[in-house]
Amino acid sequence: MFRRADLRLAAAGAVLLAATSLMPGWLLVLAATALAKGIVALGLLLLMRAGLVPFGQAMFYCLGGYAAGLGSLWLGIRDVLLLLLLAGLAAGAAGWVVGLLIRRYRGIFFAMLSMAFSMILYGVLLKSQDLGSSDGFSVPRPTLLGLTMTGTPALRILFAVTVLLTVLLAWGVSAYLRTAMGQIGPAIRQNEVRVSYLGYEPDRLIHREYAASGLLAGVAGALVAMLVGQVDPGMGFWMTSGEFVFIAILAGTGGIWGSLGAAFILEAVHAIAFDVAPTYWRLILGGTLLVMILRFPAGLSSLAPRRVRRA
Amino acid sequence: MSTLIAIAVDGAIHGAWLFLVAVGLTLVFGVMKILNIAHGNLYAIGAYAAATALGYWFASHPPSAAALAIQVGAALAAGLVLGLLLEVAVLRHLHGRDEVSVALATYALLLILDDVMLMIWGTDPQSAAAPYLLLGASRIAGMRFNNYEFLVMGLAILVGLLIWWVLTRTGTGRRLTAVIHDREMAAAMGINVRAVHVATFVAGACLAALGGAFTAPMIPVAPGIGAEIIVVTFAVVVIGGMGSIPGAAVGALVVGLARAAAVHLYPPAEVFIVYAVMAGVLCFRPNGLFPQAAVRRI
Amino acid sequence: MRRLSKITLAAAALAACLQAGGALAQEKLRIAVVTPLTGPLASVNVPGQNAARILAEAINAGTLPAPYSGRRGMGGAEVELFFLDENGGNAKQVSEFRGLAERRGADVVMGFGSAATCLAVAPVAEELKVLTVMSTCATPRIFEDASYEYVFRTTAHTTMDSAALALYVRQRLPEVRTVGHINPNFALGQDSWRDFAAAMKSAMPATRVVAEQWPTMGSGQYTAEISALAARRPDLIHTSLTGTDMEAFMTQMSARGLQEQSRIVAPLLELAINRMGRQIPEGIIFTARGTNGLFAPPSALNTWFTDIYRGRHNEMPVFTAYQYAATLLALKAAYDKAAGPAGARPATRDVIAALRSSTFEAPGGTIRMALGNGHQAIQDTAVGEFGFDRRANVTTVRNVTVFPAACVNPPAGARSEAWLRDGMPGADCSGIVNR
Repeated sequence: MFRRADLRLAAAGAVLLAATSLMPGWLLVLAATALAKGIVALGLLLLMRAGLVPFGQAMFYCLGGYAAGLGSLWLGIRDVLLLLLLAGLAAGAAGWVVGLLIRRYRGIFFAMLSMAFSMILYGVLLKSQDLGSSDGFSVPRPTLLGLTMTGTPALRILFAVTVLLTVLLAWGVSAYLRTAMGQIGPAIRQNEVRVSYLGYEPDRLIHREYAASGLLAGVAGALVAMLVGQVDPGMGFWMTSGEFVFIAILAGTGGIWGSLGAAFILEAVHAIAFDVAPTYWRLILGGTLLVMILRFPAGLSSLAPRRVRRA
Repeated sequence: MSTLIAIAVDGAIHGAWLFLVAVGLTLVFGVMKILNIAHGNLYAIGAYAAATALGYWFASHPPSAAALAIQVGAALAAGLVLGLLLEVAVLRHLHGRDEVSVALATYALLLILDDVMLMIWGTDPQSAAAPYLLLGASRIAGMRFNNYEFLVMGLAILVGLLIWWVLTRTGTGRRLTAVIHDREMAAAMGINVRAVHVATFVAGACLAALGGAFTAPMIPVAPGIGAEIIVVTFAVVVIGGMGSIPGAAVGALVVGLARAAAVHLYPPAEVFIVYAVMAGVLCFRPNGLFPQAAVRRI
Repeated sequence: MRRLSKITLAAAALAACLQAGGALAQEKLRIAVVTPLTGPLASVNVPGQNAARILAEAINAGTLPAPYSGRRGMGGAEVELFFLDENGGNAKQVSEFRGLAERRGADVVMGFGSAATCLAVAPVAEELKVLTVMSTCATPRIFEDASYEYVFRTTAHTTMDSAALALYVRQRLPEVRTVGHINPNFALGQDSWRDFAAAMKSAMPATRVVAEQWPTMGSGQYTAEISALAARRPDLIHTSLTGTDMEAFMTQMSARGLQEQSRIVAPLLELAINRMGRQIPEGIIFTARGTNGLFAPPSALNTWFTDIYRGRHNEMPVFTAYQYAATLLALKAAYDKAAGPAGARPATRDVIAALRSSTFEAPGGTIRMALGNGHQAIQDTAVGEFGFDRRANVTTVRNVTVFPAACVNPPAGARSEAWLRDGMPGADCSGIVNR
């Protein structure tokens, strides 16, 4: 069950945890956001292996954020882990429901239909004046196992939770990808008809993976909501989805390292560009991404040695 | 009754404009299988070019119909230069890559072009309202409409007919159709696929710029106008069926009418009506209204 | 393990790279200006950025007129501005805000055009103990839903605009019976309409709403909306469209003569008057979010400000320029007061004490930090009709009514929404002046 790759994952997590106490607040937020986006990318990895790219994953990210926010405001749940669970379940359930319809679609129509749903959610949230419309509402600092958290220590704890969760979920995804079910994704991408002749049902597999990717995005949204302390409909806007797709494509379909690495690189480039050129940061971001697409056709995961890529 | 007439007129006006803006997108997708996310930027650059050219012209000339020629000229110049540049510098190198990677490369182009426009024109909006007020107004069902809107409608119909004529009645069009249906077979038959691609992308860029150039008099041209329209144009071409020219026309009309109906009957729905229509159409027609024939791989 | 060390190395390099931006001279007072530098909202905030630069230069050179003349700098320190783009979403803004405080050595953060950013960064400012003074973002929620120590806003919130507009309509257009509106479908537009509708219900209970339009922000095409508004023929149309949306709406509706059948109330029109000029139909009712711009009371400070602004940018400053200027003047007054005659650089704690509940002069008149425990400003405001003097080729305003701050702002402790709905209890409107 445990492989060298898993040990590597655990080691990376341990390094990040050890570094926690050294990192200033801004870096904690930056790194935790990157990890959370990496979690979304892990979900996209499942779908991309089957050749599907949803252009509306921000819907689940946004749902997760709102679920965490409303869970603490309306239901009085304050514990980080419970809120994450709630957000994951809510987004996963939404993914399952939407998946009932969307599992029949492929290619660009899959992408656009998922975007349509996410934009409908965006529109509904914009019209929800009680939830603050485009301004959103603030999410109170959560507690962890009964402990109240404030200030920078709270960030450290949230960051540590994010790291542990990322390691856990990445391990889960890579373990899934090694199972027989997990191997069917690429087969669907190559030839769906043959897969169904083999006795598998591509629609059902895609449905399951879509719901799972929704769950992952929901967890990520909840993490970011608690980290930032605010949710707003912009989390569900198509530009957010575009960013996730960008991370996923940058990552390639080789495995979890690509997804996590791509999320980190995007956040870092974004942050540096923001500092260096406050007016023209898009130019730097776009230029970097264009060069990466042109130079690394199979995504970042193609850079890793063969051994790692299988992880 | 007058509400119905208003919905029909408003919907047709909006639909015609949407068609003009979206038709280049579906053409490029049909021939090259590229979902050009930077289409909105080509539209924006067309708008900027027209606004700048009109600004210079009207600074020293009285308002006249010459404005329309300037708009067309500015759009074609902008589309030609930029289309060629992007095709040769970027898209050519992505030949043979999967659709999503290419779409993503055009997203990178969107970011880059956004800032290039910001460098050239700054944050201040450019206005060129003169042609908008040139043609006067007319009354339909007791309501005043600006005639410029009908000019755009006429232009959209003209562009649609022109594309239809080129595709079905000329040799170029037949070669294009061959590439649309089967790129490899077309290449095997001796068609210069690369030349077809260049021509198509430039044509798509010119169409986008033309849409922008004729929008320029209606709105102040400012950063972000490209991003505002791109998702709506996606919806239009997806509803119509990706790559289908008649599909784009029908899709634009459907979206235009739906939006007008929402505005007149239930305004709060305006924000998501386009997406609701898209989801609704795709529920019943999973590949849009005019799907392209797909080869079933066994 | 080799890979890990590579990753660690890369992380360290990244941190070093980001840190490098933070090298700073300690003696300067570093003020971060967070404002939309890109995107559709940039153009309406550029005047604010221009004004901030003008004020910072004058503060450093000691060339401000009375009552700020004589002392250079703020609390003895030279001021240095640096700008950050207010785009990219809340998560980005919050992590950038932390970066400003922890890495780039910002002593004060000011600016903020959008309410979403303000609401997201206010708790972070409090946590990091960074003095944060908001210049524009307009929602009353910030100081009504929470209370802050380190966060201030030196401009009145949007409730004031709606209250003043409704009172103006009651006074000058008593024949209005039906109202329609077209407001952008996001928080600012929704709040603006909710407030105006509530104020109209209080001020003129006989009016009723006959048409509503909620266009998406940035949609640019208003053909159908204009038809729908025209069909219902309301006496009055309220619109808080702004920036390019406002300009597009003005172009399209004036071509179809909407202003000939309805009076139009456009609180944010002022941001467009320099650019559109004579293209704006005469008679549109507007404010400048305070006695700013064309409404400014004559003063040496205002003459100085408008002269230098026009000299440099060849146009009149609009209200965002007045708001950013007010923020820097409030800070200057507070820093100088906290520094005392000795002129030593004061601690943030003392600056906050000096700023809280203070009263200061700005080009747009006197501003008082009266609400939110002395953290939220109120100011006089004015409403008038737009005009264009074709001979002098300048925009003008006529039929002006000036409303004192106490007439159109809720009293301390009241929630604006409820205050408007209950008929503005406690408003002191004795000082209304018609010009």
